[in-house]
Amino acid sequence: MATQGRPLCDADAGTDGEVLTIVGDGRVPSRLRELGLTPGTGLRVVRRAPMGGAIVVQVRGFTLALRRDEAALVQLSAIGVPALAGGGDA
Amino acid sequence: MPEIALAGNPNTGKTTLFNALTGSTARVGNYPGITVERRSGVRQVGDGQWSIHDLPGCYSLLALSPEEEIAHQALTGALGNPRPNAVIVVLDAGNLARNLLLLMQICDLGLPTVAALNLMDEASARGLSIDHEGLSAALGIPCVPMVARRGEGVDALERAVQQAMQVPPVARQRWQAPSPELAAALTALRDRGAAHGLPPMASEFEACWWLFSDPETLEATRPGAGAALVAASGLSPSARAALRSQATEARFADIDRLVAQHVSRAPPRRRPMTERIDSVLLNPVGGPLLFLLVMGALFQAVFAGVTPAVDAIDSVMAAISGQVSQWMPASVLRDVIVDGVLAGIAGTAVFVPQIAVLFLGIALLEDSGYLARAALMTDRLLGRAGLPGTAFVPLLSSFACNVPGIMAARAMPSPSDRLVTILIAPLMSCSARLPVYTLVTATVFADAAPVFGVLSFGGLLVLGMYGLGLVLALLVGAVLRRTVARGPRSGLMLELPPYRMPSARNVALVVWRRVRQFCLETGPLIVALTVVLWALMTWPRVELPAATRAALEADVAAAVDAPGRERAQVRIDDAASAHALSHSAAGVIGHALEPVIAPLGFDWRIGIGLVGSFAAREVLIPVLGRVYGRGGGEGLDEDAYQRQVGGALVGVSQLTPLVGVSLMIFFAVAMQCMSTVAIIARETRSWRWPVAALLGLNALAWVLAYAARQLGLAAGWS
Ligand SMILES: Nc1nc2c(ncn2[C@@H]2O[C@H](COP(=O)(O)OP(=O)(O)O)[C@@H](O)[C@H]2O)c(=O)[nH]1
Repeated sequence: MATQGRPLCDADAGTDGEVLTIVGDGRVPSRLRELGLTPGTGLRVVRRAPMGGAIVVQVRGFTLALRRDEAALVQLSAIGVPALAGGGDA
Repeated sequence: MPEIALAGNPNTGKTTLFNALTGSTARVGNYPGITVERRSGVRQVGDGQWSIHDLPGCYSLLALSPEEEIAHQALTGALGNPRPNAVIVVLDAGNLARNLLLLMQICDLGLPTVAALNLMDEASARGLSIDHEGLSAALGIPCVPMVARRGEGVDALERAVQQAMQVPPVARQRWQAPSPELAAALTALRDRGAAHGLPPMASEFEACWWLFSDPETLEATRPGAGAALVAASGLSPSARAALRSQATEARFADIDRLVAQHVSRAPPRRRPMTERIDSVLLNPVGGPLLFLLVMGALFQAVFAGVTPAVDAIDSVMAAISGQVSQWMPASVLRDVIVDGVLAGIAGTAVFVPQIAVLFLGIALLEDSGYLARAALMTDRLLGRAGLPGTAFVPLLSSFACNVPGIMAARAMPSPSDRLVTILIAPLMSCSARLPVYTLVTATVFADAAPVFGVLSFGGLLVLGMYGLGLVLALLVGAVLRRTVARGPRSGLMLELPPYRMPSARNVALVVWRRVRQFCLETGPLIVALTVVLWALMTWPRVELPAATRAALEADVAAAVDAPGRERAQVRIDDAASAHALSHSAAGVIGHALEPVIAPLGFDWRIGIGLVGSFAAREVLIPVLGRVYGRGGGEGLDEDAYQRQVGGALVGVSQLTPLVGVSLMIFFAVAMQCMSTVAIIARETRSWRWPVAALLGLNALAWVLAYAARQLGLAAGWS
């Protein structure tokens, strides 16, 4: 499986990106795909949550919080410049 | 009566719509064999009635989690569920790009299906316009725009469901495997399934459901099915996952096309409100502070805010008991009614304010969207016990009282997380343990030198008991995770819904249903246990020996004045009560316990106290009072009575500071509370867990109290 993308867990707040692939075949990756994180889906990192560093992203019009190890399964491609409007402020 | 199932993603307003459809007829039950709630209600439609059944909220029908497995079972009529006559799928109109997956899967089941495009008001406010007619035509099912919260669209929805049930579903293209590999895998599974004991698969989609389900999740409800699936598919887990992800991607490609065709969006004018609120509530500094503030307020409300209501209930129940005692002639029946049944009803009623206040708070937090943020912030902390952040509120409320805390665990989606939370909740030092701690510290540590010159030693010990419970809870949780509630920690992957104004109707219904359910289902158990405990403490009835009585009566005769005579008379009553108690079944048990608890430094009198305090831990004090012949504390000020009981503990039962510490540890850890037993039995739908918790926690309490005593003795304390 192609993994030359950048893992979501390393992305900073405000990053815009596109899902390249979801790594793995357990329950968590399957769930991520069914939440709509399919290849090519646009995604924005909104912020990191306090007390534990979960990562909050905006995808398919809803807000999703992922643990670090869950976010590590999401590989991003086409990482954009941090959005100016409506970005995170963390 | 037609059965209508209500399905949908979480946070789409499914509960709101369910309430709008069924009003106050809703009843909460359970799915057979599993501790997931099954909510159903009745709707009057024309001359007939519909039975409406709310499925657990889920994102997909392919079983990755028990909720999804249940939703699928309920829709397909598997495992004793009635097959519904129609399905209403609730969607967040502002979020079709995610919500359509579940709708399309349900359409593929071939039942009459209606889509409720809910939250239309929010979608329009966000600049979305949805061509619901075009969507209906494309999907081949009616799509009804609604604002469930204001009741808009409910009638149109009802008509659409009626029609859908009359005319066969519009022929629409059946689901087809998106790739030849998947088609081949499905054919193979359908051919070989029967030989491995899988049920016949009527359609390709059903075969697909089996192929993509998680074998472990299947095993939980259908033993053997998971293994059969693995064998019949003949594919490795990664091959199955690859096919699954292929199918999901194909689905979302369809969804993206539909959304592009039928949803148009004007660019939003400004940053959405939710993001602005989150930048405060999830701020690295402000977020945790506000979290502490909110949780502190909730705890304070459950812990202290309910005191006036509890006192009022106590005095009303006391008045009723008084009336009944006067009105009925003295008899065994009267005692059973007053000291058993009425006491049990009072024992149930005192929980009602706590339950009402806690669920009021939870409903407000949940409906507003904050609860998801709270779960997010506590996720890491609770991860140490292998629990998700949703365990926080149940555990926090358990510090006020274990009973509502255990009830609050219902909001936890994963049954194994929920079981662990329920089993460790009794380790949280509830408010009923405080009087016991105070009794000990005031009796043996009142004169202890302050630590560092300022900190009260007794106060620190009490704090230590809270800490002990917390640490043990994390340890026990971690052990349970590796034994009885095995399985990986459930994922976070938490949706953060937009902030919304809580709806008064939703909140009121949550509180009403919880209170009602507690009174009707757990109440009778508490009453029954109260009667049993009272009987143990009453029978066999043994009178004071004639010689003792005669000696005490001589005191009455010898008294010089009326108050003296009265005091002597009270002494007779107290002695009779002590004698009766120590010869009752509970007394016999207390004596029999002595060899077991002697290593902790407890005598049989404390043993009787342990039996009697099963009614509620704070009852230890009046039970001990009776055993020591000091009566039940009637007409005495609480502090004075506590001093008397404490004095007797030291004088008669040889309570030393070290034994005091053992007693505190025992009470901190042991599950000395029949209401907690009752609520665990009710919530887990079995007697296995409450009995296991009772034996396990009491054994742990013994070991720790023993260890503390041995350590103390070794260090030269007594
Ligand atoms: N604005 C708006 N809010 C709604 C509507 N329906 C439900 N809500 C709110 O959305 C939140 C979630 O609703 P709920 O019924 O608990 O969702 P569930 O998780 O799907 O059961 C609550 O705060 C409701 O008051 C609606 O049509 N419009």
